[in-house]
Amino acid sequence: MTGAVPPIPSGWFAKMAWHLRHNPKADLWVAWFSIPIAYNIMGIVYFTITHMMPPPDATKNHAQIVEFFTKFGFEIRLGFGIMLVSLAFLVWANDLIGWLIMKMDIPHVKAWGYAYMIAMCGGGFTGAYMSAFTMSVASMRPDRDPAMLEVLYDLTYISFDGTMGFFLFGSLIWTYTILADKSRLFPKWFGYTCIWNFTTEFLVSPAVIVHSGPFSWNGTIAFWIDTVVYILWQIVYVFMLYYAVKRVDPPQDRFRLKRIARLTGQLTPHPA
Amino acid sequence: MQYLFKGRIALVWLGLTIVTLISWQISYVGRAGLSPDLTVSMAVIVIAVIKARFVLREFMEVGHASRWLRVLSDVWVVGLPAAILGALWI
Amino acid sequence: MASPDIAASLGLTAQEIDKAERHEANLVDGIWIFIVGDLFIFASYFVTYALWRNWEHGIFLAAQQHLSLGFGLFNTMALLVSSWTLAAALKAMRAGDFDAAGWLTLATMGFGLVFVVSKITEWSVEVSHGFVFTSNMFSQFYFWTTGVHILHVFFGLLALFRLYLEVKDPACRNLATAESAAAFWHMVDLLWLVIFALMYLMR
Repeated sequence: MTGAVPPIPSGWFAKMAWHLRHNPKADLWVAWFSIPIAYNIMGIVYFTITHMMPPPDATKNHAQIVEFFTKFGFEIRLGFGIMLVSLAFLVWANDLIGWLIMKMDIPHVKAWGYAYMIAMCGGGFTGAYMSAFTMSVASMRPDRDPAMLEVLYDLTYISFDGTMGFFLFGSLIWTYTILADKSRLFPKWFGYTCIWNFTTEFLVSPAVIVHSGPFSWNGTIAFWIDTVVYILWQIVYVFMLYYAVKRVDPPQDRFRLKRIARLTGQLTPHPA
Repeated sequence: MQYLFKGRIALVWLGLTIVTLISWQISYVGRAGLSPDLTVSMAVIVIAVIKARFVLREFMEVGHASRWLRVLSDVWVVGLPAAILGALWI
Repeated sequence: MASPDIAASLGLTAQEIDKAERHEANLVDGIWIFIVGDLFIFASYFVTYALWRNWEHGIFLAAQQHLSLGFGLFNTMALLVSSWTLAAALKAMRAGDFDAAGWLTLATMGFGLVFVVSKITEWSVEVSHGFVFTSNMFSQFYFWTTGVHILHVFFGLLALFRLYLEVKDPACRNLATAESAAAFWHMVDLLWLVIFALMYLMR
């Protein structure tokens, strides 16, 4: 149907170029590859330089907050500079999942797909971008009024934890669609593991109430256990997405089909 | 309602109830003072996981399940009190 | 047990029937992965609780006086009985007696609701005495753990309701769903047994 497709060349780069040119699922694979890359960058940056993970204490006083931003100001801004670029790739990740949801065999499938994407966009904004903005603003001029810095500090971590509301909604949607899907695009056991993920997102809520101990925003329960479960689940989900992309039908490229039909004479040529 | 008495489930339920009352007594007796009592704590925890194992084996039928499930559930049943004891001791 | 005439009409050997009847809970069978994971995640919460109890033993012991052992015992009994009725419901389903299975499932849900009402009452009593989430470290653990547990109870009730609807409709009856829902509910009971020991009974 496509006419002669040249055989796959050997050599890494040539192979990649061939896939980009000829593989009908090329865009899906690019989206998929961006996930481990983007999440790894995010993980490294979040854990090492931006001081988002683990979050610092909720009980810092004015002087300590000023010291925090003065001391770590540069690395925070560097980290978020990198983040603001790599975060964009997470849009791809969530859109890939939304698209895969739309390939499932459940009623109102488009609604679920869009709902998932909207939930994750909301979450991405409040969780990732908002904290990027507030932290960068605070560390840009640490000689501001300390009360102002304190507001930005609290806003950062409350929004970082509070964003769990959006992600909870998105996770819930993905869990439901996986479990209800008759075509079993994702295995049922994976749907059940998604339940752990969204439950741990529920359980972050005490962080807005208590400031110290295991239920605070950097506590054992509201942060560490949740994060460990989340990271493990994330690793599993990257593999699940790989198998799902392999399994799914290639997307319809209407323009390509029209071009081919024209080339083979099945369609009258486009008037010049 | 004869299904309530089919197989071992009635016996298991009775056993669980009795053991719950026993552990309640163990704790209640020591309630008089506010003094901490590691023995009582460990006793009630061990009783609790033994009950849990019965629920797992008899009600959840893990006893008939694959080897991995049996092994993992036993790891939990043994590991949890061990970890809690460790946490209470250090 | 599959009724003998059905098995005979399918031409199954005794060995095949036995294998089919044995509850082959495959590890890769979704709900079990969830249950095992949930058990281990809760285990991490329990160990964290034990650590904090060790570090602040006096506070925990004093705060524990606010809990009513009576309520705790009542709640434990409600869930234990519900597990019993659910086990009986499964036996009824396997025997093909779907009417009895329906009643027993309803009974399970009933006892589950009793637990929920009792727990909420207990919480209101405690809150009215000034024992709230933010009172002290113990109260944080107590309200949070029992809160998470009651969330599981709600989901369990939903699963049981789904099971009840399926049992009532001859076209939908499915032993696999029943076993999954039952396993989840038993897990909820199991977790409560440990929570009862940790929060109410420990000294």
